[in-house]
Amino acid sequence: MRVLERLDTLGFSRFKGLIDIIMPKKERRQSKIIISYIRIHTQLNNAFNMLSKDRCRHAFEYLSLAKKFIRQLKFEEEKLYLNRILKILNELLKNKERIIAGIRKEEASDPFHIKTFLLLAQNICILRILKINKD
Amino acid sequence: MAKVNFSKMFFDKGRLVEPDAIQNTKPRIRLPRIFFDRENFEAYETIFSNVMIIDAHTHIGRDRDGHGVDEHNFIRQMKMSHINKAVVFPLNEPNDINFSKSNDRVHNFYKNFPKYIIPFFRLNPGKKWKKECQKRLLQGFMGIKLHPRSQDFGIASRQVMKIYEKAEKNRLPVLIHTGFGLDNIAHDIKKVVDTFPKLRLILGHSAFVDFEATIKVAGKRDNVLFDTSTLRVFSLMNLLNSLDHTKIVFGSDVPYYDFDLALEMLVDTAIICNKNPNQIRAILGGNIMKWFK
Repeated sequence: MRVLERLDTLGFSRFKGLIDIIMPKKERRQSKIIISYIRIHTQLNNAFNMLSKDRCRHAFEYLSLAKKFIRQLKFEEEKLYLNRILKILNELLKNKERIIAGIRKEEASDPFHIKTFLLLAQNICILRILKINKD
Repeated sequence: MAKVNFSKMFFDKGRLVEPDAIQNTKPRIRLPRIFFDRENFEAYETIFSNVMIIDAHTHIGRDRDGHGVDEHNFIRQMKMSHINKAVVFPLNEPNDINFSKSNDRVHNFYKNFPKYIIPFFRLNPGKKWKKECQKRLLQGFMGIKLHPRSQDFGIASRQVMKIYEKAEKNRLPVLIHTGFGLDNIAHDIKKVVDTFPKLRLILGHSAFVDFEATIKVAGKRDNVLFDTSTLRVFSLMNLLNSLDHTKIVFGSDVPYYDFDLALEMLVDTAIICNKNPNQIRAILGGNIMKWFK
């Protein structure tokens, strides 16, 4: 960065300053958090839509993806919420075979209340998005 | 109380309190544990000062799917989330086909914590329910819980109609599951409310599986309430925008959901939907309290 600033013939530092004015650091961080929640919500939604006899195994692939993604996130202020979602995902993944067997036996049975738990996790994402967005 | 447009206050940055002032000022009343944004404490204070919060949809025991909560943890969580009272009924317990043992457990729970618990008993319409019902009526239970999917019956099936009749006669509210695992239930609900106009009915999960049609047939009935348990945020918005606030009651579905999160979701969504503090307070407890005075 320093090298670039010394060779600042194109006004790089001013441009950087301009970015800070257009979108301050706090808002940039909030955008990143919102995008992360949207990504988690999308994975959860995909999983929810696959809770059918034929596709329920794929649902757990989406849940694993969501879990992996959450673990990579480093937003300290969101830790409480992300951990709550992680806890839900861990519980569901731990009971994967039982849930799949339940769905294959009867699709509408909602084994392990998986739909309710996914809905809870999705609601956490939406609530955070709404709240962060209004700040 | 003056009507305050909270959503404007929240979203119009020009009117927000300075962040420093927020950090340096502590709320004057204790608010429920987590999830609550500190910067909104003024609005929350108005809503939560001297409010009676009644959770209309909770369970104790252990479900056959392994989930559960015991009495000790239930009360602990209630206190942490500032819930004043909760309608409690059994989960779908294994090896208890007519819910006799599970209803006993709720009864004991009520005896130990009468200030906190509004006991409902659960019935299986397919299994000798009359004796069980009579026993619980004499014990002073305050309502009945029915679950069409778990006990595999139709909402307006012949056997269940007899339970509604009994409930109406004894002025006992019936909370019936109208969530996951069901669809196209509006026709059945219409049949029930038409046949038993004085029956007090709580639609668990607000019939979100067939919401629009159910609103049409039961949304304006005096004796029908819609509980907010395990709804999507957008379904909750739909509910708050479509129904009069006097028809909506707070519910969490513990142990499948958290008291905290359910409360936060309801209050914040209600604010977004421009409900005023008095309306939110009615949803949190006032509306259902009228049935248990």
